[in-house]
Amino acid sequence: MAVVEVDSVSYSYGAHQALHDLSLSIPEGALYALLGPNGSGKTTLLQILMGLRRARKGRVSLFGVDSDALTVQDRASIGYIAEGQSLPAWMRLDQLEAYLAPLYPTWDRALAAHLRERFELDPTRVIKTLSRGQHMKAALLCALAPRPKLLLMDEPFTGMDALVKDELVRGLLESAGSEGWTVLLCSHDIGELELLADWVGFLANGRMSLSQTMDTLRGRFKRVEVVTDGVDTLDRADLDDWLSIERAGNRLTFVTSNANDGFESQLRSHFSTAAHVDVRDATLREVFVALAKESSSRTSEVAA
Amino acid sequence: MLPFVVALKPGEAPYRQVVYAATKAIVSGELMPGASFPSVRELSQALKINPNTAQKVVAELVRDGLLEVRPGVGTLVTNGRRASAAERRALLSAEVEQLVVEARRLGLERDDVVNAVSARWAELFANGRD
Repeated sequence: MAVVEVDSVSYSYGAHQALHDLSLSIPEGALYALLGPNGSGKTTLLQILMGLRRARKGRVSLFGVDSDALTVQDRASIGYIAEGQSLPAWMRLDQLEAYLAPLYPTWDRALAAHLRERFELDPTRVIKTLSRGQHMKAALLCALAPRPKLLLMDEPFTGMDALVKDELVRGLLESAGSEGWTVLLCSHDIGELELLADWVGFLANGRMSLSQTMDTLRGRFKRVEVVTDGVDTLDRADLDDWLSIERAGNRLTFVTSNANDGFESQLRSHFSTAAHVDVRDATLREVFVALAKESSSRTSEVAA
Repeated sequence: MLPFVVALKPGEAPYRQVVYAATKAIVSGELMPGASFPSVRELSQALKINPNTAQKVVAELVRDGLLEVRPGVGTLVTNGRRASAAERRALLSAEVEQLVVEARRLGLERDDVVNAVSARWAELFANGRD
């Protein structure tokens, strides 16, 4: 069953259309990384899922229920961390926990205590005195303690140092339920997501340009490096599904988005005179850069 | 702490990298028969990998007969089965291929590679053990 189902959703801010006829489906148990350049519509999409904004067109359902028809109990099983999530500044962390616990039937005190220890958070500290990293950890604690069935996180790692990021990821994995636990995470910190996510979606200019499992992505996107003596070979090396093409001297690198079974042998016969042809899985960062560049060049073509 | 070493690098499926590292540790005897193997949770948390990926790793190693899951005890390295020479050889195939390709790129001949390997082997195991 799809936990999140978005069907042809459009949304505008005045004259600016932020989401275009966007459809997206996230299966139960996925840790879904939603990637996209700034301004591509990630936050808007998350806010629509949370019911904070209403789609002008299209439908959204969570757990198979239309988002307008979600009950209070349904909502209690969804965790959400907004970008730069604010918490009541005057409260102490233990007061905040005591305030939130009765609102969530599934609030897990033991997990909250465990996360407090893991994050080295002092429960008697007033929230406004917390550092940025501690503040984010407190927000994650509050979102994880109810053991949500669906967790939405908008840029949880942004501005965090490597140590804090590491702790956030560990905290997340430690409280991961064994089944039926779905996470949707948007972030610029692609390095953190490479190992964490098992689904990836790319959002560009308000449209999903790709949504698939990491395994499929790794099969499709390859990074190729060719070292050749013949300049003419390089000139022919311009096919539609070659992205991020870079040339330096007699060295050519590119990312291909469409590697099928025969791809590698085709490539080797195409570059039969090359001294060196190296093919490996593209990293998530390489895929991101390739797709982001492609979408921005397409936009400028349309504009021109 | 994991009982085997794996430094995950981007550019190859983490699942394959972990299976490879664990298989190497077991087949080489670094992880002895009967030793306990990390649970899916431990694996996921220690390596910061997706729990589903960790699950796939354990399932693959069980399928390969290198691990067995004992209810109530945990996941253990099997003792019934020693890896065959062919399996141990297969573990090296990626490195061998890389070596051959690299040698070719540098314009070396087959004999150059064989001689280099022999020389290095002799150097490392000079005390008569192989």
